[in-house]
Amino acid sequence: MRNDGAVARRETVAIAQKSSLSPFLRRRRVLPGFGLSLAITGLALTVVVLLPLTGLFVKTFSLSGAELWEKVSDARALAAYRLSFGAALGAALVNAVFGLLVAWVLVRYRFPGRALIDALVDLPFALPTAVAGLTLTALYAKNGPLGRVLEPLGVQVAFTALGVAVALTFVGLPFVVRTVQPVLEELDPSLEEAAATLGASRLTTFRRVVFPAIFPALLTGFTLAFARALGEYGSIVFISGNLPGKTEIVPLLIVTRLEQYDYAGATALAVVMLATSFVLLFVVNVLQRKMLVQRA
Amino acid sequence: MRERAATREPVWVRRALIAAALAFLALFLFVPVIAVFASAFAEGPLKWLSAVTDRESLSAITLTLLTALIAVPLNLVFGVAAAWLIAKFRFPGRSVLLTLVDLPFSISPVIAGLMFVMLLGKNGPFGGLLEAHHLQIIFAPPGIVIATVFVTFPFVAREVLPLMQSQGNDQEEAALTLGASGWQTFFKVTLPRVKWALLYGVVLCNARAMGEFGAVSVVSGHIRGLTNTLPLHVEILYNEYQFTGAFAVASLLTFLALVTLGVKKVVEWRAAAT
Amino acid sequence: MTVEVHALTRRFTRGGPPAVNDVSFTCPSGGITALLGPSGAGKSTVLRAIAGLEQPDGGRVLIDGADCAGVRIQDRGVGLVFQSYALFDHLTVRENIAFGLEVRGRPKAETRARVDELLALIQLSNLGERKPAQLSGGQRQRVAFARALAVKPRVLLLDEPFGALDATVRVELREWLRRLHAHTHITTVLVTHDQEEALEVSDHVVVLFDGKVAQAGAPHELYDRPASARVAGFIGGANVLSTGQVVRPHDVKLAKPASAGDDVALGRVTALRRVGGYVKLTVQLPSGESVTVESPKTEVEALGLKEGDRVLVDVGASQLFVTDYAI
Repeated sequence: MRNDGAVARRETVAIAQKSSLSPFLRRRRVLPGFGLSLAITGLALTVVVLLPLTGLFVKTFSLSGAELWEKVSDARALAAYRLSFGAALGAALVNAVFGLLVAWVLVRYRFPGRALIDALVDLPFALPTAVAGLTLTALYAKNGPLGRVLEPLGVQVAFTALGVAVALTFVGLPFVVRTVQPVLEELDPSLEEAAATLGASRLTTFRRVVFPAIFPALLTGFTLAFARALGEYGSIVFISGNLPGKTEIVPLLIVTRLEQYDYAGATALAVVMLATSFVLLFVVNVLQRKMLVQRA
Repeated sequence: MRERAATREPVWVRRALIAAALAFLALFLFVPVIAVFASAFAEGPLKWLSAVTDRESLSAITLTLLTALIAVPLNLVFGVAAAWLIAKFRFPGRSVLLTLVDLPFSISPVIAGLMFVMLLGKNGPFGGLLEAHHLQIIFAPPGIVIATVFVTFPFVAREVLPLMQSQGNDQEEAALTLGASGWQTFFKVTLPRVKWALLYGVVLCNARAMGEFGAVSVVSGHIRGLTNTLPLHVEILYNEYQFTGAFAVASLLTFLALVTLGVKKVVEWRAAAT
Repeated sequence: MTVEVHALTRRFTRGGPPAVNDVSFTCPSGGITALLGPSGAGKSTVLRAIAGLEQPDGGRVLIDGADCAGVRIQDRGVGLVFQSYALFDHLTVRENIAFGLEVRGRPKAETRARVDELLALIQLSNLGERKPAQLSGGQRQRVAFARALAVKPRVLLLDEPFGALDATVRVELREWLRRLHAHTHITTVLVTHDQEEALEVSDHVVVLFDGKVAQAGAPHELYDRPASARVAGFIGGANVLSTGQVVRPHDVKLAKPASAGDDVALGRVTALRRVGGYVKLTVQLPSGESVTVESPKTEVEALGLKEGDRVLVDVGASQLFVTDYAI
């Protein structure tokens, strides 16, 4: 045991000596394992994340500007963007409304089965997306239990853009609930009591006191659900029917191009989606920082 | 929450809100899950059994287990190392590292798969090298493992890191002053205090490793009996109109998801108890 | 077993002001030394540097005359009681106390005997199987002491050990600490912001202000001969007058003037408050500035003082010293 500690310490010193990052790295740290954990984390990140990501960008930069533009702006790609962004936006909006409702009900009310429901909210995180796609498709197909009901009303879900939105609602469902729930739990009830003593109605109190307090969390959850929906693939393969120009989402178009050995086309689309993801990631970071400031 | 008069709605409002929330969850969560099991057993348990034990299903189960068996321990080691590094030390680049650890969550699985095809495929920078050594990674099981490691990368770190951070360094420092070595401090003090979060991270990581579709689909090449995992097998059966078979395999994965949620609940109870 | 600190310096931000600035002092062997100062004075940082938990930017720590630079935390032979106690919350009281012995690979029987002995010492023999969360603050505090003492450290370091406790428990534990020390005679360094605690418990006090040593000495020396107005103010409280005189509140003498006239050369009582057996008065001097005065209740009653009364104020006879600078 002692020896292991000594090895870890020597590694710390070795890494620190090699590094010219800052004198702070060179300071011998009190807790052990800095060098070892830095080495493992750095190696894993480089091999698993940084290297493949760089590869993708290098490939993109090997394309000419005109070629790149053509690949990302042809009619089929534009239709795919419209569907991907539109359905993801619709799903995220539905999740914002109902996620807030579910969070409110779970935090504020006691009713039989509440604990079970609270546990099941995370199901879309744990259930493979292929399974979700399979079962939703079967439910909403023309002869499925739900599809049969909707068919006479002229509503088709499976193999339409609506079906894509339904599947994306499923995969994004936990995000809003799980971001709003803790904020709602921590919300000081005396705020609402104060509003009530000042003569505000329950609805006014919600609008003016509760909603502003949970709004950053709601927006964070919405953005996370939207980002998740943009990248979703597994469930859509089943429910969309995959008609080019009609029910083809961007990830599906990427796969199609890859299967046709159009590597440049696939990569170009991937970079557009990656850039969008990074922007959304940045937005979420800013929002979360705001929430931290607010809570402090 | 304690009932307080001023934070209470009229009974009819409460009931309406609860009903609306339950209706939404029923439509999007409960009905789909029930449908999986109902369809899987629609033709009786024997049909289900034969569907999940036929040769191709078994080979898909084997590859899925193998993939999880490699990906989960790798991410366990990485996740704990990353959590320790970020929670216990302050150093330049720490916040960048934190963002990078989380990055795989924000990348579409399809793009993740594409990245590895570009990097390790025939035309990629390592393609020639791999081919010269007769190493097939893309469109072969190793590719599936690598893609799975990528998509499950953040799970363990994400569960353990916030807990380690909130616990501070006091108890580790106390252990050191009492004469414990670095490893003794880790195994006797740090690890027991994060074990439940760690377990949940591992279970979540495992669920995703076994259930990943997009990334694995891209790197698999869809070779039956060779690069078929359980979720991919569901798709193949579905495309061949073997619906009962598809649902039978899907029911295995759904069961896994429900177990995962059960473990989460237990972990939360444990965490609340301490 | 002395502890010596030489020219210790520690900065937390590059180029920023040092949290600990050129601090030197010696803790006498077998005694209790208090590091006293307001929060942010750098006391805990000095203590953590002695334990090896802080790497100083400059200076040395010597334990028993040997330089500790490069000596691992584990090998310093210090027992540290944390302000938060830092008890291992997943282990029982017994397991907490046994921790240091176990990681050193001591025989099980020896460990058990030592833990029993310590549990008796801290009067918690019947609570050995409890988890820290099931103990009161004072009990946790004692377990933290026992855990630190179990490995028979050469030096005991206490970081605001009573900071998180109720006032009554705090007073009890101070006495307990004195008894414990009389029993072990282990060289002890105590960090505290409470001057009463420092004066009562320790044999030697080092006063820190803004990361620097303001004064060091025996408790009565600090009280009777403070090196500066700030030390005087921090220990026992003091009035600093514009004339440069420094006077303790209970050293100010009050007397009824011979005539009850409105003599401008007299002070005026602007506030008067009973605090237990004492009366705390605020008296405005003819110069316009106010001094705080503490007098025994009987004395004030004998003078029949009330708010608005004119009084003779004598500060000159008992001043500590005259500062050569204005604050």
